[in-house]
Amino acid sequence: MSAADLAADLVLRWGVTYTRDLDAASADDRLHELASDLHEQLAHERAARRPEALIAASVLRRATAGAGADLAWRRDVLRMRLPRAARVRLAVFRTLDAAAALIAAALVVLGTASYLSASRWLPTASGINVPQSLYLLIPATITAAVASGLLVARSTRRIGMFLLAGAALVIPWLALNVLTTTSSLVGGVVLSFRPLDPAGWQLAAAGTGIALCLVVLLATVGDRRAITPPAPGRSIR
Amino acid sequence: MPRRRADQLLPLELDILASGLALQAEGEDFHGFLLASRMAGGGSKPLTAHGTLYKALARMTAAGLLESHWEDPSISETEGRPRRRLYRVTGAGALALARHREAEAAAAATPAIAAFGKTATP
Repeated sequence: MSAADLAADLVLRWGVTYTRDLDAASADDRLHELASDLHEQLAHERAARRPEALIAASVLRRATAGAGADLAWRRDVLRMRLPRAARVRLAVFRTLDAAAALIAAALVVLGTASYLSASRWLPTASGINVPQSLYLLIPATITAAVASGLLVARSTRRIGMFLLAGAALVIPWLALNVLTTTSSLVGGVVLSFRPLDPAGWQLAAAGTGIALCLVVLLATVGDRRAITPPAPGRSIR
Repeated sequence: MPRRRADQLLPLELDILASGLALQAEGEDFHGFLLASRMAGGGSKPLTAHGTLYKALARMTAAGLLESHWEDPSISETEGRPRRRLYRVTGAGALALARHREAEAAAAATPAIAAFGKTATP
């Protein structure tokens, strides 16, 4: 297989990728049109005796330069297939998904930063018991990291959301406990911060955890199947 | 970014209409690569990207500026190549291009409008 044939094959594979889950008519039309275009370009440029490597570069340049438009076209086709109510629901779910991803990233950063901060100061302090929260913070942060990875794939999103909801419930509270202990060693930063007293901070952390957990759980409820187009059969390849 | 008016044509769409009409004048309906090749001026410019071209063709077909059909499978089988989707500029497409050119000519003929157009265009 020449470089140009390989490039054309790669572009067709990209076509199969971005037409996945579209209705069969739209997907087949686009793939047949793309296959025809690639065939014509290869035939035209070979007739002009251009080197295979240059043809391959031209084919790949056309594909990469148009990748954004391919994805925009895919989004338009998916939107057109859905009734207005479903499109609104889809927008709500996408917002919740984005919020969940943001929460996952924030929790991983918070958990990691709290752990690193405590690890830096606690071993140097004499007579200070390492708080239980520190040991719980490690699995909770790992859970949040794993959950954020599971959110990426549609098939594992739901389990990822549930794991994230659990992590969201405990990490703010655990992190506060760890940071409270650490800050007492390095100048009482958290405890001395007003307007909240220590009990107020505990309450705020618990409230934050519950709020984040609710946002994540909201993203898991509802029947998305009603607004997710079924995967159609395909006949191009 | 402000939403463009329904009758406002993008530079790519104008290019498609102009090149399409030129190809039609030579006697035939055109397919995507032939159009891209014509728009590239025979190699003086790079070929339009697949995604950009076919998204525009789909949009213009939906807007009634172009019409399309798949060629007879027996032709592609005889010639040993994939089937082509053939396009044709509709009357509405030709009219839209003519109106755009008229508007451009009128603006060029009026120095104040032409100057405003130059400053308003990024």
